[in-house]
Amino acid sequence: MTEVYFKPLAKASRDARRLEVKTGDPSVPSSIFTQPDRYDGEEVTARVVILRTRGCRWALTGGCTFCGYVNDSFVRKIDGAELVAQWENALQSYAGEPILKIYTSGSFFDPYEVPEEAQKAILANMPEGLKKLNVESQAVDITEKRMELVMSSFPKDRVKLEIGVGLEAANYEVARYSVNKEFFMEDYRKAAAVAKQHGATLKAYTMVKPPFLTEREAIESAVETAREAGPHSSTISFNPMNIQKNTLVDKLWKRGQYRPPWLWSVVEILKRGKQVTDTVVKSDPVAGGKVRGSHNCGKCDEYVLAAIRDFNVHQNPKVFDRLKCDCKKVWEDVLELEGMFQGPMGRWDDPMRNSEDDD
Amino acid sequence: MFEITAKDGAARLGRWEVQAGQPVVATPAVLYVDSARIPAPAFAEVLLTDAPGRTPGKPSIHPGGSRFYPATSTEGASLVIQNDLPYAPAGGPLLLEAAQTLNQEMRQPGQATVVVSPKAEKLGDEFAVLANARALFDNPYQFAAHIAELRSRVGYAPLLYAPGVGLPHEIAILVYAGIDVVDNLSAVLAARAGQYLTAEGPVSVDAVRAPGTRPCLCPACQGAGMGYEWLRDHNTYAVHQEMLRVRAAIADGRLRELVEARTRARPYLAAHLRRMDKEQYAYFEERAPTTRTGTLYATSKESLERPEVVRYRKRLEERYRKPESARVLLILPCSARKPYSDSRTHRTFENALFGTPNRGAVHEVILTSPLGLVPREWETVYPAAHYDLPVTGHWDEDERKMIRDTWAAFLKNNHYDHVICHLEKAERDLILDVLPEHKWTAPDDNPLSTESLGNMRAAVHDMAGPGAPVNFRARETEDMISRARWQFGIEGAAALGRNTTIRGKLPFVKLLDATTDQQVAMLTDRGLLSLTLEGGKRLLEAGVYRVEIENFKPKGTVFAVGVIGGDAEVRPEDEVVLHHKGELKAVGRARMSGPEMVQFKRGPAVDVRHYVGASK
Repeated sequence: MTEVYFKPLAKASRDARRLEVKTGDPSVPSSIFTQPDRYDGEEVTARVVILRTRGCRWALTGGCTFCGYVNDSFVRKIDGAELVAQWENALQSYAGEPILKIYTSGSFFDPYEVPEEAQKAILANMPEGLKKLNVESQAVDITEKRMELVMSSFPKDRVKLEIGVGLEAANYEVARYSVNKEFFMEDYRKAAAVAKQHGATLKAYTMVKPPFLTEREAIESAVETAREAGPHSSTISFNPMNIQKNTLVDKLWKRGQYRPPWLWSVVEILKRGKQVTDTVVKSDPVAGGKVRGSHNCGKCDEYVLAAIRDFNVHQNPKVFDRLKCDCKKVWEDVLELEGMFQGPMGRWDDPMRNSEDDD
Repeated sequence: MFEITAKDGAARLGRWEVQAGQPVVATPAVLYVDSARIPAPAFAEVLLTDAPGRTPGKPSIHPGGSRFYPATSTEGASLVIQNDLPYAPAGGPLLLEAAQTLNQEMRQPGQATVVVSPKAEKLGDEFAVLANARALFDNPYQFAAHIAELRSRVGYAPLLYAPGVGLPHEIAILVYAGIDVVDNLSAVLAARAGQYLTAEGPVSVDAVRAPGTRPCLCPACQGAGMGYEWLRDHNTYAVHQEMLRVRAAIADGRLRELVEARTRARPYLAAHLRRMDKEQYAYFEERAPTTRTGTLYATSKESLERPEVVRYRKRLEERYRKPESARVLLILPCSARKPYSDSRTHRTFENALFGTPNRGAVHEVILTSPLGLVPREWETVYPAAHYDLPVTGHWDEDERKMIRDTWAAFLKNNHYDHVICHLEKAERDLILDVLPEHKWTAPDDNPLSTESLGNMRAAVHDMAGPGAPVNFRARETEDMISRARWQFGIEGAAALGRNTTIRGKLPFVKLLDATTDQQVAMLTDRGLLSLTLEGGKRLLEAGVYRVEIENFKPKGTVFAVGVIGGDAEVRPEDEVVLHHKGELKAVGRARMSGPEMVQFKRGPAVDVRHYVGASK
């Protein structure tokens, strides 16, 4: 039987990483901050806790071609007790926010990364006043056995559980040959069914423009993912590529062989995504308007980002109608011609990064 | 169907029938974009389109999408580029090799292969697409090696298309490198970026926006338009015009000169050319003809490293040995007129030496750039008789080093009893530290002065006169064999020169078997020896410059399809011997390199001069 993943791509992804064993206090979380979010139609504050684990098992062996979260991990064994201590420390700063988000660098339900006793202890320790908890997991870790085990400790009667899954692409070829994913749409569907039985929902993280796709294909892939994953998800979150250090995409980007998606593409994806699914679609472009993140020409970026933020709240695509900029023509050229290049377009597709002078 | 009609190094002119029954396209060719927003120009011969049928009656190439999203309909396309796994070079060679294997497996019959790794195996295709061409070409460290390795692996036969490259100033060097097909994608996008394209490089559009200020006579520039469409149409014309110029340069045998001129446009082009010369010599030398008819203009720094020039210097080091009976080295300056003997300067030297005794012991060797030195008997070979360069009396560092190194190697391999240096001071200084003890006969810094000429005559008289007399015919025979060394190497020349004598006067000298009086070869005004069947027999015995053919009587032209083997040293224009399993069949002039005539299934391989079994 062949591997579920494409070995040469996994190797290239692994080779692009520089894994460092880190010292530092294992009882201190990576970071704690708050961010605006929505709950029951209202704008609320969410508290985010990033636990510092040993690292994503998949990333340590190869991992997704663009994910650099492992850069922040310990890359050495971290005991369950230490992760529980991180959580307890984090809760000291909890100020009654209705939403808590626990991010690890990989999969919360993978006992390799978060030992079973820590999963149970953390899920059992939910503060009063909390309405919703978000965690992240690989789809293959959301099994019947795992859910039974962890949900027995979780106060599911008073707190909703939403599990973020980095599905990235519903398209098998994209997941296997571009993202270097270890699981596929079929696994996501199964995970969603299991989660539903236990009263939890899935949020589909969708990568906008994984490597080696043209801008047009990136739009297709994101919309296809919204269409496929929509019925199985509480939210479709489009994540436009941001270039993270020590990743294969970083290597491509540095050599001018990858360009993060245009914000025009994100707008297009939100408009079309809204048409193909009834679920919530949204996008928070990390490093939006910056050269390492989703960007246009540098002149219209803030303006387009504001419209995207508005759309996230109101889900009304009309906010995009008034957007215009000269660079939209370049983007249209890219959609029309990039596929004919049979590879990166070089200097032509990024007015922000490449000056108009050809050298 | 692809047929080559003329070549210049790795570049070729040809005729390409994209699909049977459709109009034949001239190559090197430009594919013109024909899309919803960008119409193809009227002069387009072949289109690049995602909607075949938009412009009927012309052959069209259709990109097939990628493995992620294959094109949904390719109906009506003359040729479809397969959907591929489009990995970029930064993915690393292993990833690209794996993708190459998948691409070759996925290809449907009749589709064009997309090549992502230079390690692609023989394609058997007529049309191969070089993936990532824009990224490779933008990186001076990768392109030359990539294209040379790829072309060496896939062979001479396939047409090679490099998408996304082909700005007017880039076309010459791309074709020079062996690319047969480009497109106007970059030219169209340059218009959006406000670049007005010319063969000498992009110009800012604001400099030429107003009608009347435009350095171009294309219909777009002659019109009143000042916006995007004017710029796009002009850029496309500029691509077309430069491609016509490149084709003309190939037909004229002057593509290298055009490339050297074009590389002045931008540093990355010069970087490509220098890497091609320094790192891919073998690839380009194999394709460079042994001789040409026109002048080789050496006007740039790059001219010093031109493959034919480097080949000449390598042959000087590897194949050259001085005529045995020459004991006195006479070093002379070069002349603008070629061959040197025809120049006023060299006729003056000849007159000054007229009547000196034992001239057969004297060996005249000319100091020059970019060749380093030319022994008198090699003055008719290519490019010694063909080069022209700016003469200023100033020598740059690269030239100084090249000349000094060439002389150092020459003087290490060839020993003389006496050395006479008849150079002006600056030239003598170039080689002074490698020259053995010598007599300087132009200390007044003017080799043409009466005094210097007198010094030279006296020195020759004193040094050559007293020794053992050299038979003039014997010396001329040695010179003839020396020429054969340039052309056929040491073993080939030894076989041709065994028991021979000469007859006739330059430039038409015959080499004859001394016993049977049978002609072996004759020097012609091409500067090369042409073989007789006797000469062919001798080369066949030496085992060099052979072409093995099927068993037939070769008359007129032998086509590549009839060729079984070609020795690796055979270059276009070389004299070769044709045989079948060791049996002599003919002698003739090669039209392709040895490897090329084996790989190619079409086109003329050898023009036969004499064949066995011809009626007298």
